Amino acid sequence: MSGAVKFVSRIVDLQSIPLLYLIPAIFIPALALPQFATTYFFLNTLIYVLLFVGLGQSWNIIGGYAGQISLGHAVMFASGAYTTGILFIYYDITPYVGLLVSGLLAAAVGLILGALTFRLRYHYFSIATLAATLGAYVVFLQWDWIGGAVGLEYPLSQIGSSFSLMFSSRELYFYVMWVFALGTTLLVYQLHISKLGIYLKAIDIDQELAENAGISAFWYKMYAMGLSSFVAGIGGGLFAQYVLFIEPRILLELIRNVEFVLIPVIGGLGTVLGPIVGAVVYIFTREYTRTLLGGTQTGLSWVIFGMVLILISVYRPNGLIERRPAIGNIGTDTEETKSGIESGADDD
Amino acid sequence: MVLPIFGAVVDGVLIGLAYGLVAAGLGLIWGVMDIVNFAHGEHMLIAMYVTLLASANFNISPIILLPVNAALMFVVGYGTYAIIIKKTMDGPVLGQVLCTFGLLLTIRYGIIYFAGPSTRTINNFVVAGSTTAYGISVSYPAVLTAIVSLLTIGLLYFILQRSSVGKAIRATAQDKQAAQVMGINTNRIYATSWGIGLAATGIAGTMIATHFPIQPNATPGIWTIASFAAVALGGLGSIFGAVIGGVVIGLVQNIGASLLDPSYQQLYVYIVLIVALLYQREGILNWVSDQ
Amino acid sequence: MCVTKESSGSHVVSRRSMLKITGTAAAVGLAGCSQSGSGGGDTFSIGALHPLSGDAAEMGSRFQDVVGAGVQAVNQGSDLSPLAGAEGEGIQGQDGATVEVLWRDHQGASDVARSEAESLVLDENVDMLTGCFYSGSTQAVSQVAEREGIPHVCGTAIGEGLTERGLDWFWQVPPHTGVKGESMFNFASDMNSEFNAGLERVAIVHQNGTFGTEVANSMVGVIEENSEFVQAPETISYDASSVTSLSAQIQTIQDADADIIVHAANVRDALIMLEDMKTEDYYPEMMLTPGSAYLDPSVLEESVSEHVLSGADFSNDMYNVHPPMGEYNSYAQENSGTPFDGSNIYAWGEFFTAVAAANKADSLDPADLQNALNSLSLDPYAAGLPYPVDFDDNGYNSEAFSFVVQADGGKLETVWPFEQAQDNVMTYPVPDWSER
Repeated sequence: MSGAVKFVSRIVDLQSIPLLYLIPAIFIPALALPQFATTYFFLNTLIYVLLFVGLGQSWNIIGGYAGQISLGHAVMFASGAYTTGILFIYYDITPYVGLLVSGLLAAAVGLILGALTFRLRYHYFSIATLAATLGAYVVFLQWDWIGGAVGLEYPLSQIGSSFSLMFSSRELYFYVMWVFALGTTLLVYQLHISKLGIYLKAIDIDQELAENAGISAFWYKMYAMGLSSFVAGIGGGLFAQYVLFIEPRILLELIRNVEFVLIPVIGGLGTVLGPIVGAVVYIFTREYTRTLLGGTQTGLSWVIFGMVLILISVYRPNGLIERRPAIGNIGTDTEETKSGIESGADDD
Repeated sequence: MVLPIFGAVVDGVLIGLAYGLVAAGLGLIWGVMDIVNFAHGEHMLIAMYVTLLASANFNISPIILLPVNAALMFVVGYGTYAIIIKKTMDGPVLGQVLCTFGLLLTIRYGIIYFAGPSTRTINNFVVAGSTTAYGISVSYPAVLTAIVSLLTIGLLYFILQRSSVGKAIRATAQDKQAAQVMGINTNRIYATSWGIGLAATGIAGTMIATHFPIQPNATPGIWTIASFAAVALGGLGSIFGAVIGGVVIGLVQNIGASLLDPSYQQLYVYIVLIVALLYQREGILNWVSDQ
Repeated sequence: MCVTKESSGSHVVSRRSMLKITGTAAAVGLAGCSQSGSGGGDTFSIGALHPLSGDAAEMGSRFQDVVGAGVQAVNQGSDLSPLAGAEGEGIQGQDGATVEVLWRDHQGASDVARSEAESLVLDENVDMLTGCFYSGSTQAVSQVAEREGIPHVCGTAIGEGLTERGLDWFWQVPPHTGVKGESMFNFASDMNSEFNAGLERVAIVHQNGTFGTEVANSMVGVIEENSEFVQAPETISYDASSVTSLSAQIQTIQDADADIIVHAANVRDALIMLEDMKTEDYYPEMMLTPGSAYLDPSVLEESVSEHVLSGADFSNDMYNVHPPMGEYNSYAQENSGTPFDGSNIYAWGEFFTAVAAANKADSLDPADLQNALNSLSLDPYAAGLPYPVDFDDNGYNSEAFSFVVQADGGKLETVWPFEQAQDNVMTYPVPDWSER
């Protein structure tokens, strides 16, 4: 099995092409995709792919680079969605501003969460974030001001107005999401080549060692969490602007949290392009299996996802794309670097 | 409002003992090899469905199924480790988290695929009915569940303290290298721990199915979270810690619903879980070796 | 001509949708079907959005069964009268056009519902949308309908405010939760006047999801309007997915001396409520639910659900009072294997309202269908339901009514309006647990 994977990865050896070329090579041709979308369904799938590239990058920052396996990212996502929605629906504040506010508010939420839980390591951190998202779900369901279980609806009359970020043309949504996906990818690229990225990786590999070297793990993790949450919040706002109807269930259910993890993991954790691969694989599978299998095969697609997750965890825990070495020219072909820099968690 | 509190306390203790048993199973695996089984509730679901379906289709009493499910879940646990989990042991923690998460999805939706999503109950259980004393009502199946849980916990303790397998498990938990040097096959011990841990869960599941309606989407989550919270509370410090943790969670749920706003009932558990995680002592010797 | 193809399974999938699903759009040429949908052609195409996977999957599957039987009745003709479109092959008002239903699974998620609705409208060119059982999904789909100018006929969601959103392309067929609540409390009021039941204090308990919250709000509204009843205690809600015991809530209700319990629940918590009440050896004067879970087979087959009263639009003995419904039920059972129940009867009515509109419209163009729906005036049974269909200015069927049923041996029997009940059917007062 792993032989086949190695074979494929040798063909698709992205390691040798600098990211600076790869990113435009992927994104610029993508702009033409709407022209080839013969069905709305395909275009809708592409829109979700782009949105989830962004969301995957968000998790990538904290999970891939800083190594903190958060199972509660939907909280920031939901915060962003509701912020954008409420600002527009209740207060007529344009989403172009609302999105920014959403990002900031989600960042605040994430920072609070991080402040509380960053002293927890590994599984403990994951469990705490899981408890947080489950708790948030209960709270949001009870919270009447934001609509509670019944949800919030966007006023359809605002579609097409210049400041509402609600379009009747789906192509425009594609381009908005494209900007989001590109922006987040560039952000992660920047992180990847920056000192911050190296520090985060160092913390991920061995937090004690990093601390001894003078890197304050807590504050760097907080910084990563802030960035990650900011992005997740904007993603939430964009989601709200696209779907035009938000309720706690679609923002906070367990699957939403799982998706944040699945996408960068499938594609390649701690890599710049991983979430792109992951989003394409996951969203296409999700949308098309629902149409193919949803009616007659209750839950079969999730069984398959579960098995895929197990396979990945056993054979490629760092995802389909291997990590590039974090530091400059250590681009050797040794097995060690190829297998990615592991989280040192199990060294304890 | 005095009497209702007593009722809540009794209910909390009864279900808390079951939480404790399930938590003990989770804690055993966690303590021995530092793996958190996110699919714990789903594993319990397997035993629950065996009970539900055998009872409904073949009229087999859950009492008979207790040893059957224990054996079955032992095999499931042993096999899960040997075939799947073992392969992630040398990899990053992320792999282990993903693995049990994948198991969560596979088991839960696999059960839904084969048995459907509807809620199921058992109607023909030998032990039925309820009793009321001093204004507090309890159902007999709930009491029986608590009794079985206690006995099983006792059995668990006995196995770990007295049997050679138990000693090997504790030795491995304490120091894997030393255990290997002494000739203990650590992989087999890990697998056995999974087996015992899930067997305990299976026993709990069999009893729970006798008096709770089981729904494959809602039920596993409740038990996974409760057992996480119980282990976090009790610390990876002792089997009795897990049990006490379980009882505390049962009490939090029931007293919380009784005294405070019941709309937020589960939120109280989540808060307790997070607080327990935050205030856990660092560097605990894992519970198995602490005996 | 695109013919609906019946599979041997439990639901009907049209050949055209099957081909779309497998992505072999080119292969459509096989059947000679026109690729570009049916607007004005010889097929009336309905896009049905319902939960086909997830918790409500089995219910969704029963929807498919009865609607499949309905499709057959229309396309092959039947002697079910006065069912709209059932006489003659095809829809007579559209020169014998066949009807086809394209099913889409929204999994109870409003974002998925929206995506699937848009796909149905923009890719499959359906003439009409139906659905969606859940309020959130219904709202999302109705938004799509409004944007694209395609009618959305909703027969399966009973939220009260759905038609008050100023939409021009949305119609709601069944009685909404407010009407149901009024029926329930008119019943209670009649019990007071006819039988001196002395009912006054009402406990409202609900799961904290959309259904529970909406129902609770409606019930509170009805009670406020009705001076005969008062709420005691305050509304109680709980988290549906994680609750394991309702004993504390039952205790609160007992302490408040409630006469009536109104419980809006899912199947699991309905069973928990009943079991816990039994353990506590407590039963209120009247257990009066808004239906849904309490009408579900999983609950009805449990002995604890015996004697529960519910506001519903269906009972197993309604055929005595509404004979055509009995014929429809037999037809559905013979042709799909599934009889009517408390949920799928809504889907049946949803489908036939759509067919009735197509039957009446000048053409299958959206504007003509819209006019047809706005001016629709159907006698009882014409839409497959025991009440007439006549939409008010908001698109709500003001003729819809609910009745009250009681569970008896796993079956539902009409107990109110008293004139529609069979003799000696109601069990009241309900015996204590020990006497059952």
